[in-house]
Amino acid sequence: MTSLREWFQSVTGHRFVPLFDADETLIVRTKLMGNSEKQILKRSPAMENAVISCIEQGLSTPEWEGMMYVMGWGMGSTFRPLYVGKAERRGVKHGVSGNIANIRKNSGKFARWGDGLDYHIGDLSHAMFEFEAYRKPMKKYKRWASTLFRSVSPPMLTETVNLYLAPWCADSTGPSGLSVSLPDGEKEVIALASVEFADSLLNVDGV
Amino acid sequence: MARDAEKKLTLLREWWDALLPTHAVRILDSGASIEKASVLERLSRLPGGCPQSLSIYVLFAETAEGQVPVYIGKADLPLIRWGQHLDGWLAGSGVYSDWRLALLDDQGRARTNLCLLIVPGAVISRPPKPGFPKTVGSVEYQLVGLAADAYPGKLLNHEGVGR
Repeated sequence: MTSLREWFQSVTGHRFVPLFDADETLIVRTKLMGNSEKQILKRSPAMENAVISCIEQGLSTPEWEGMMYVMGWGMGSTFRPLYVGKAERRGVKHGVSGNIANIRKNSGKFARWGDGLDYHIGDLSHAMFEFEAYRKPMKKYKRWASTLFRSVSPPMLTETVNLYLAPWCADSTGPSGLSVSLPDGEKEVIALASVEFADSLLNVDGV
Repeated sequence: MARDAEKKLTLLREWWDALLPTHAVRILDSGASIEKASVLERLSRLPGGCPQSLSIYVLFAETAEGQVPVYIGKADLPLIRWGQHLDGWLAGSGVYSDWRLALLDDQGRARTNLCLLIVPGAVISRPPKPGFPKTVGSVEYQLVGLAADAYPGKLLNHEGVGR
């Protein structure tokens, strides 16, 4: 078994990109959406391009099963994971998941990082700016907000937040050294991060 | 073998073989219908009684190929959780329609003997995957991940299993 940081860097095709579109003072730019002008945090162009590239390349490869993502601070040998997740190729009902289909125009879902409610950016924005919606903001994202941001108005990060992206294929190997599925690989990373980064990991399930 | 199935089988057996003699009980005999009171009574026969603390459980079907895991879960109070599982299983609603189909015949009788392993967190001395945590939450998904590939198509879990 390799250490988690070594493993992150060993995955073929991995990349680190800034998650948010932030200025040099770490204030995240926002956009207003819909008739009610909901305030939504903006993803960085680099992150959007990396996700689009990973998904489009993946969908052209039969062995590709999806993408693992890890939100964290730092990158490379100093990366500190905050949240581990996945976007699978196959959906529950469809051959290609609605989370990744037509990715260039899929800003609402965007490989789970979409602007809509029940997606990370939408839920985090809801937790921060508390706009009207069919339900209240989720506690999970209140925790994200207080971890990632120094202030809400303006939305200023405590430090730059990066996203680690790793394509997952049928022969991919998890940190255990075993050949594992994407859901199993995700759980392996959560399990190890829950020990090595116990103070900062935001995942709750699987620890 | 696909996805290290043989290695995963070995890891699973190394983990549960030592626990099965002392922490498992047959909850349903082949050909029998589900009777909630009978199943709960059998669970209370576990040495020391059914655990009343956070535990991991594995439901096994006893087949000609040996004991095959069919469902893996965790619960703070396994007896309460299994009462809920049995209610759902009897009704066959939602995810439990899969349970009925896989484990019971057309008349609602068990296709094989079914045995339940219940291991309290305090008893878990080692993780199934070497080097991984041995918390109940982590062990649950280690077992699910290993069993999904070691026994392809047998597991009724959805979370943690590839589509």
